[in-house]
Amino acid sequence: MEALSVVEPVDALVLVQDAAECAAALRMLDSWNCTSGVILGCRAIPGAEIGYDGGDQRVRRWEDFGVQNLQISYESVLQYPVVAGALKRFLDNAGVSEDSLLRSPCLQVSFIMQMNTTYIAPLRMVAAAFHALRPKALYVNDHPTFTVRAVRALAQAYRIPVGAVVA
Amino acid sequence: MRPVCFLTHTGNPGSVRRYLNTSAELIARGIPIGFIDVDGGGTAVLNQEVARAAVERCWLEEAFVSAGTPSGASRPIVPELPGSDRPLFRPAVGSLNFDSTFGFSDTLAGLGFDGSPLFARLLAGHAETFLEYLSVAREVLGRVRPGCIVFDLCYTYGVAALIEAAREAGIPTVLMQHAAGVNAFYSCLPDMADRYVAYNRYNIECLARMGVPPERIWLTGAPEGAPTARGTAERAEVLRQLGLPERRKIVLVALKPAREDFSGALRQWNSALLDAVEEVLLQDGRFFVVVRRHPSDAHHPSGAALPMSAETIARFSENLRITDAEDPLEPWLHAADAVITLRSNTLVEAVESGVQVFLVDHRDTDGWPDWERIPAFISVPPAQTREYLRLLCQDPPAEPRISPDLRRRFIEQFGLNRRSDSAARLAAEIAHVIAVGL
Repeated sequence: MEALSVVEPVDALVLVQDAAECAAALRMLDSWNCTSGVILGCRAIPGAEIGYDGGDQRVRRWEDFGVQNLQISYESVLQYPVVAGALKRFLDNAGVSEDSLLRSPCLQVSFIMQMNTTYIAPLRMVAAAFHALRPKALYVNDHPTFTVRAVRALAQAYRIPVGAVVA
Repeated sequence: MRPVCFLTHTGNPGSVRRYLNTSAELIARGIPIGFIDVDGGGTAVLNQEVARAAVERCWLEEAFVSAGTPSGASRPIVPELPGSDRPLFRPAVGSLNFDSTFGFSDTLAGLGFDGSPLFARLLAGHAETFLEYLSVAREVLGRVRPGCIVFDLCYTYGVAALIEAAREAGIPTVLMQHAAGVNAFYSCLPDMADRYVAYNRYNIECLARMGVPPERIWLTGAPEGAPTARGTAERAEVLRQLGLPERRKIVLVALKPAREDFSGALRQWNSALLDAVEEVLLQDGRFFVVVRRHPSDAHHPSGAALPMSAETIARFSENLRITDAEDPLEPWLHAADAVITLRSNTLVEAVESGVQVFLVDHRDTDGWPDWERIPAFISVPPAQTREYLRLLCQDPPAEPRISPDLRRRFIEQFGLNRRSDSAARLAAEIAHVIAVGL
């Protein structure tokens, strides 16, 4: 992957879903005099549009940390064997017969590439960005997106405290 | 005679050009040919390339345009979490740490990631969509009755459904990859075709890692016709056609994609390279600089932006040209005395053309062949770009020379190996398969 632009640990990683939550996050960080914070969108990656154009350098894009379309395409291919193996185990456990259409290599190749493009490659890259950012705390409200679930789980796995975004 | 069908999807011009060259040889053998525009994205490029090549229009099936589901390549990435009773993640608290190097398999284990809820939620819907596509694919192949299908790697619903329908009907499939052929990372994908076209030894190595045995690989070289002869008279004619000056040193600068849906880092690399070119070469009246925009910029609205400021372009109008993103590379290579490129397939074609090549190397090696194994080009660290450009400016140029033997070995391993009979050899292989089967 290309080099990430942030190498120093950040005090706070904040995930927001829209401009209003972004404004709240900025007020929250300002109230702590926190200049080493990174605010990212959580609805879609890359290019998570949160409608913020105020110029605060703490509001960043996932692309700044290597999460971008070209890389997702590449990772989607690279992670193919991982997902193919998991899918085989899933079908075996579900007792799907060998002559089922679900066992067709053609069905599987299009399914796995969709899965990888939508979930697995972004997860790989979000996890790499999280590792590079090394946040000391995560702030995020509960939104039912894959990105939020993944980053919350990362915070737990790295034993990083999690708080809510409150102005 | 049953026809050969070429699948187009997002309209890669390189693939279409190879298809058209092969088509001409097939038609000469009395084999009808046609195109199936899988997802409605290839028609415009096909029409453009047919016009450019001045070949007879072949028939076109627009297979899945009415099916409505976009291809995986163009689907917007909106990873909303599908509903499920089972959690996707069961992280083990404190199982990961920042002291170690990032490794995805370790991370997946630490997250307790379980893909089963995604499979359970998504697979049935996917199978339903795939069946819709398969129904269309069966209908199209039943009507067209092709003797062979040729495609390149992009496993959208449409392409995958057509391959499935072809397998059911016993129709042979051939994979002919765009650009410099099957790369190492494609080896992660399953073996889906009956036959594979390789352009070089590296492609064969990668296909072997995919599990493809040698007897299913056709080593033909890229079917694009022989490279143009590079004699003095021919070059003078190319310079005249391109409107380039004869008595100045032509330097071709090949850029990365600048479109906004690609990484901003690529645009920064372009800018840094162009800054160095402006500072060293554009100030020197002995040079004429051609800036080649990346072909993929032609297929995105943001790619239309010029890579240099209007002021700079106007200031250096006497010794600067910026190409259209869709322009074929070969004439510019033919005209060039030197090529400066970031990591891209331009490097392969430039080495093959015999021109001196400078790679400004940002070490972005993901997905690229290990070209450094046979260094038939000069690798330049980005921070030293200006120094190397100044070597070019010395008279005679002081850059290191590449030996012919090194260049020959590079081309055998990584080159397109275009020969005058590549398309004919490929057409002969396809014709044989149609005539006698696999």
